[in-house]
Amino acid sequence: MIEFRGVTKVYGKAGKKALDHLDLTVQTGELFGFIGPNGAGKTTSIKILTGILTPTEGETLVDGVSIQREPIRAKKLLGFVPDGADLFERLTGMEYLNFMGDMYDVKADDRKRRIGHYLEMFEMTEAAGTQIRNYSKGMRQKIATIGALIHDPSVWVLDEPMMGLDPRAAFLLKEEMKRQCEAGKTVFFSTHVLEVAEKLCTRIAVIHHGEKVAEGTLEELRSQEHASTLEEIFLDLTGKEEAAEA
Amino acid sequence: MNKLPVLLGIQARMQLSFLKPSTLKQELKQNGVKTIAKWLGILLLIIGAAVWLVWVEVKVMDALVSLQTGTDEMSLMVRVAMAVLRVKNLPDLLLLLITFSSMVMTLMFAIPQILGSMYFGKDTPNYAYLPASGQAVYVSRLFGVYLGETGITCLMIMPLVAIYMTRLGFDAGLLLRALLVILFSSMIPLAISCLICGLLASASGFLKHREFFTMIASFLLVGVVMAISFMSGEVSGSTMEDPESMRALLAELITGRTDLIQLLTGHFPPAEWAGRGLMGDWGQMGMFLALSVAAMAVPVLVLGRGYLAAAINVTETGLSGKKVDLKKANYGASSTTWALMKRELKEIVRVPSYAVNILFSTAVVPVMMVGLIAIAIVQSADLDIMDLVRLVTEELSEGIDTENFTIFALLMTAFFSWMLGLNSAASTSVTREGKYHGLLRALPVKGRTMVQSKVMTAFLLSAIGLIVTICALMAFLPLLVREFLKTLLWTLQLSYAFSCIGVLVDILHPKLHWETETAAVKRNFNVMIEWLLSLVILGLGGWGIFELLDHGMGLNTLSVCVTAVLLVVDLICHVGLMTWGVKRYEAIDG
Repeated sequence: MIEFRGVTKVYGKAGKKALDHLDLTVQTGELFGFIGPNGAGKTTSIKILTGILTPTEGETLVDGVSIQREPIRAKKLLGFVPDGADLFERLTGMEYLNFMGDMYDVKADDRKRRIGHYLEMFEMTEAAGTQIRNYSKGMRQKIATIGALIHDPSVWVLDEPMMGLDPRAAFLLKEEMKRQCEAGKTVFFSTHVLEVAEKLCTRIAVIHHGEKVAEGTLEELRSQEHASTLEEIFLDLTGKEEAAEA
Repeated sequence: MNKLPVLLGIQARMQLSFLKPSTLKQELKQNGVKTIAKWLGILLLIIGAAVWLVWVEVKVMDALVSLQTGTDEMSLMVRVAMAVLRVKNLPDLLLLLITFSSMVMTLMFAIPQILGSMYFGKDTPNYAYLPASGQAVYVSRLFGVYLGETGITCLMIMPLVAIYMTRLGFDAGLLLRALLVILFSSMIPLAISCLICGLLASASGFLKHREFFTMIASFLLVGVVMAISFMSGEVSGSTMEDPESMRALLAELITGRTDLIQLLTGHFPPAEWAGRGLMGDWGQMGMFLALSVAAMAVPVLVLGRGYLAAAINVTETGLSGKKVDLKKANYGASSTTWALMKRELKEIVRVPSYAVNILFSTAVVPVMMVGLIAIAIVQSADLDIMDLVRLVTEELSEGIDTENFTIFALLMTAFFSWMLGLNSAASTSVTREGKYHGLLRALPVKGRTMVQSKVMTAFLLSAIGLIVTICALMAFLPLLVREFLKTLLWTLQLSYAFSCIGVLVDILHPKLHWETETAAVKRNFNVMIEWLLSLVILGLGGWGIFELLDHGMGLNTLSVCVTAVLLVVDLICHVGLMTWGVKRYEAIDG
């Protein structure tokens, strides 16, 4: 389960709010989509949820553990795939996965099993011996995904996970996200691809100018906004000009 | 070359972007008082460094002027330097020495600089797709390197010229000649470095481990350059072969007369022409200027056209094609701290800019020093090193105990600590996280563990170079084993303190947003701040030791005192970093 409790983030002394009292709860077993225009606050929310940023106000909880008060315990429950997959470029794929295994205290037997399983699943076995800087965007995304799953986290957070993936890799990732949910794990991801959110998510939240402007299942959003597609809902909630950017 | 002016403008703007009023204004708006404090600090730092440099140069110049006129007793250091160099015209010597040194330094440091910024920089593709010729891009990027090297030459030569004229009278001609030497003196070394780098980049482009090859080759080349400059200075036993008395020998050598310029620069004619030109020979100056311009034209004509292809060839690499055998792969688990250290060490070794900047000061220079000392010892078979050590010890401890060489150990400690004080591994440790900072912060690892791993990585790198050096020295000079062990202990103690200070400085002023790794380590004031702080600690330590000796403390008691004080210093630095530093690290917003 994920909880945002009145989370506010102000950058610098200029006082511009990137997030304004965000309240959001994602239940265990949900596949939750977080959408919004560019600069709406999606990445800031995810950075606060994963402990990268400290909120100016409020707190976030992972399975009831506050990441601000007990960061290590909470982070161990999370698996995180960062935006653009900025990974340690000078490590090989295999070195990166072993590094992540060390960070999350994954036993040798477990990491061997999981690394083997996911490398084969994402067709990365051949590339695993190469330094990450030589990977394509999609390959980075795949290795970041494997790194995030190596400790079998109960909550999986992905920032723009479909970016750079070829159709086959995107399909595999979506399948894995569904499989994690079916196994009782929570999946939380941000995306610009509304079709993905529409087809995949059990619930969706829309964020705009740092504020949550809508939340619910697709059906609930449709009835609230009197629209038939997620794109129409998104345009209604965020303004057509800004949505065009997204 | 039609886009050259635009590309040169971009280079200048990028180099000086941090000084743009709009950037400063924006920074001021965002960070308020912090920005003012930061710029005040940088200003003070620059003034402090300049004052220190000028002070040293004034002291040396005064000593030389008084020696020239025979009004002062010579200090030991000056006597040794003069004995080695056998010179007259002493104030001129300093000017020449600085000019020659700046050319040698450019030759040594330009190779890693050119490789890091012009060939292995990540931004080469940004130029490659522009509708500009390879030659124009080459010239513009070389201009950026030239600006940096000339700036350093200017900082070295100009204060000395000013002091020279203050002491010996204003000379407009000298000022003009000095300006010409400053503007042109880096050109020939740069041209040589460019050709070497071009050759290395072209050769390494065909290799799988091209970065590793280039890094090792550049280290070796720098070593060769150092060895040649060392040997060409004729620092050999031939100047110190009187077995009767070292003092008598020194005195005899001081009175020796020889052509100073020929002696200094005999193995590098352009330096000789620059030297003679600086001293007033306009014909030689003309030859020097013409050769400098011609030298710069060579790499531009030879390498310019193919530059982009060569640079792209070394930076753009594909998959290795080495399939991982999942059954045989290593899945061994490591502790968190060791895993973090391994990651940092791999990164330092594998990124050429990091390797040349970090390993150079912490490991390569000490090891090369041993090589040079070995050459000196082999070349001067008749020289009794123990006599020299005894002489230095006697002079500095005023004959307290001529068989106790603690002073020698302290001098060696000061020398190695001075070098290891420039610990880029520590003072760029947070900055190097760059875009990975977020990823590291998302890991379930305490800030304390992260910071500890940074300190240990920096300390480990310093320690490896130091231990190798000391072991080699002990092998060469077995009679001084006890002193070298003391040197090792004290330098390690100081090195740990410097590592803590370096990490702390970088935690306080991290620069996480950079475009290339070269920018992360080269344009980083934290390295200089940490080095200056280490010099302050060394200075205070030196002052304290002389005070204790003045008050009659025995050398054995002094050894114990130094060890104890350094332990306390380590403890203070460690506790400060692990409490205050860790809190600040955890509060960094990436």
